[in-house]
Amino acid sequence: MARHPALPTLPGKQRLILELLVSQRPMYGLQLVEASRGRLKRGTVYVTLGRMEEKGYVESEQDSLPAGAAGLPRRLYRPTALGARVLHAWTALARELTAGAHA
Amino acid sequence: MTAMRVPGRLWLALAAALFDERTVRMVIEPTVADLQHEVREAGQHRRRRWRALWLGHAACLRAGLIGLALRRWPMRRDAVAVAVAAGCGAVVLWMLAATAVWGTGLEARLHMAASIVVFTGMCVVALLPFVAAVWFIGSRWSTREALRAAFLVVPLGFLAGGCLGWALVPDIWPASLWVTIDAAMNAARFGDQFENLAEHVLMYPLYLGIVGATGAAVLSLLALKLSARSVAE
Repeated sequence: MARHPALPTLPGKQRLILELLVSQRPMYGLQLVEASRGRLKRGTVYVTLGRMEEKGYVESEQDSLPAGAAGLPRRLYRPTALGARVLHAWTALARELTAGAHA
Repeated sequence: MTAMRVPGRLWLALAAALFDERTVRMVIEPTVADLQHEVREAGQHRRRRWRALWLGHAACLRAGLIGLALRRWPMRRDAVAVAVAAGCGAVVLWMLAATAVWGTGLEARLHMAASIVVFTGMCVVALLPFVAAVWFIGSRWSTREALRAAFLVVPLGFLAGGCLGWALVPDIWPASLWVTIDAAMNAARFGDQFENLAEHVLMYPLYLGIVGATGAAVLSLLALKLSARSVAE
């Protein structure tokens, strides 16, 4: 039997992040934590975002620091075209499965 | 007005020692950046500043612990090697102490264990320059192999030299190694003369251990250099 190429997976937290990024705007990790209303945690959100970036679902860039400020610049995340497509496909699949269950 | 200290530098230094460059860039740096941003936003508002510091440091700790727990975010090899070497050293130390104290009185056991720990500490101090030299010089050719040589080959050389030194102690010496170590630090129990002799006897394993460590260090560095040269060719 021919092997199928691996399907992109989308665990719950990654789906939530993609939903927030697609529906709203590019966000910082901390903004994602605040917008998720407790479903994402500080400290773990970047592990998830790192994995999503590895999969090509999101991309990030370092923001610039305010004038005169010292420290590290924050990282701004936005969805990629692949991420948006995967979210769309998973949402459609979930809708279909739910409709099938209720039918 | 005094300049405000930027928090989170300790986390960055720790992360640089423990994690690979990608983990630091993708996980630790953004977490620290959030901490710094919130503290900056809090300004002079004391309560908000404390809250930002508390939440930010907790987030950094969590990110670090997750980094350690998940294999997906590998630790740097040198940190693993150091941790393994330290763990093995601690186990050997406790095994030595446990072997030595078996079957004697409680007070004598405790004293002997303490003496062995002190003697082992002295050996570690004697070894450190060799370990550091091999690590530092060997890293020019291969960080990974230099670590292995520094934390494995050099201590083994020291141990081999020490064993040879102990074997060369004249047969007339009546005490075991553990009793000799104890005696060298316990004049009250063994008497000044025996303590003095024990100190001299301990020089056999210690000096030959240093000779062994030197030999192992030189051979390791030669092997590293030759191996690097052959790879280059």
